[in-house]
Amino acid sequence: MHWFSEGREYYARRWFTGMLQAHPGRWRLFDSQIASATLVSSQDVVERVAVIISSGGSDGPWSPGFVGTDLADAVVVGAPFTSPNAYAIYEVAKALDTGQGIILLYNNFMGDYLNNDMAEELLRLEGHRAIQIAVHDDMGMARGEARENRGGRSGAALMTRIAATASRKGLSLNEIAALLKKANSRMSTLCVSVNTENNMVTFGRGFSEEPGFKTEKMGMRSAAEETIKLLTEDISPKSDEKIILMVNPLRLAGYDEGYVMGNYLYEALSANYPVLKMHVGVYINILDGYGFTVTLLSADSELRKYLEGTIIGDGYSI
Amino acid sequence: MKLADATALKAAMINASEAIIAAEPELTRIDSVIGDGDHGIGMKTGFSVLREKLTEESFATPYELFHTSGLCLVKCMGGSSGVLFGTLFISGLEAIKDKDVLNASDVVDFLTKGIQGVINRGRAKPGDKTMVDALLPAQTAMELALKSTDDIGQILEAAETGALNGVEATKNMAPRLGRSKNFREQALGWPDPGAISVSVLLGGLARSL
Repeated sequence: MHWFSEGREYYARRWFTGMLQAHPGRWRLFDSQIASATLVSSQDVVERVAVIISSGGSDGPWSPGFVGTDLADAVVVGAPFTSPNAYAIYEVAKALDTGQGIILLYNNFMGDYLNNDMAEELLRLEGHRAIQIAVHDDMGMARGEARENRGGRSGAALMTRIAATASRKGLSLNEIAALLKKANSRMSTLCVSVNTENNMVTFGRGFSEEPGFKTEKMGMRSAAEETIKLLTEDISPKSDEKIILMVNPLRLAGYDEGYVMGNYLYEALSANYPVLKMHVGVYINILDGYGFTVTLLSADSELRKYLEGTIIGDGYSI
Repeated sequence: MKLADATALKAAMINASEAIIAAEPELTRIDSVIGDGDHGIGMKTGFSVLREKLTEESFATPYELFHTSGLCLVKCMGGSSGVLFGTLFISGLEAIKDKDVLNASDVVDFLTKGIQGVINRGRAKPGDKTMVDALLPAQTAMELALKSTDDIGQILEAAETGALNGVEATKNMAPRLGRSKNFREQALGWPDPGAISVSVLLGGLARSL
């Protein structure tokens, strides 16, 4: 739930202005229109691929909190629960392109796709090289269909990190796109929501509150084991891969509970697979209610090069 | 008209914008029953800004005119409609890149690529009760008309007739995409507002060329 006391049209502008007031010098407001706002990192893009992320205009830290030093170069958001505007994406991409090209990264929802796809065409028409990548990690969505039809979830946080690190290591536009496509295909996120009154656990609840695909009464340890089972079945980790585990508490789950659930998940995962590292924190927070989203990224040695070390963002580390 | 330069095409785009603005009450009335009621207002807003912009600016080539028009719709209308109606004018630009004037065949080529752009981007199939159900019959009618006339106005009139037949056909379709899919039952018997907009736009262009 949100409290939109003065309407939704200028919500993003006020949100970003608050971010600038809290962290002077970290970002600058590139532009804001009705139902759209664009934030740019104060770290310049110098002779490398620019990474631009976009999403509907609410919640976070992804997307706006994923812009900054060692992170994405710009973010465009729409009004709350409304996709970002293609023109705004095109405009900031033109301004940031150093000739090395632009990655447009977004979660796979219809409006986000339409606008990024349009922006990509507008950029190409004027001679800019741009490649769009739609994150499709939510295994609860489009079940039985191709992975590419799934919606995007917390995996966007890891994808942004990989894109940003790869750009700074000097990879070309095509190399970064190939890397992101690989990560996209080796990653899966499952929403585990819990009714704490009766211990009923629902797996696969959607980003827009679509119902899950399985509900059972169980405790935290069993829920963690089931989550790892479902996720590893979905990505089938290969013998040369190591796994990143990311735990994102939903709105009503606490700081402590993220780590407790993380501990159960880590134990269940490490019993059978090599764990590269675990991240616990709020990366994307949209669902009211109690529970977690759990992401596994099965990374080969190439992907692991772009996941080394830890980047400290606004209220999270990744 | 057999050859249209940027000035003639600009007048046609202004005329088409006025037609869309005038159609707003009907679009709103229908979309309020089968969708969330915002299609007409969105179209009116976008095409009002476009009309104003075109009236103020002059264009050296058809490319400049349609590039500016497409960008304007994407920027000012927003949402899916802004993107898709913008695409209609953007995706065919390569076809008219170095032309100072367009003949009938150029117009058909330009619009056909625009229509294909909308279909590729929107991922709607024929029969899904969307603007595609007006665009495809319009394209077929245009291509057919080009065999018997080189008059741009007549060809666009044929496109409009094709689109209107498509609008009629959408009455019997149940929506699969977009927000109107939530109104599947109520939507039967009503035409698709996006399809109506396509026919209004083509009609507005036709009557000025």
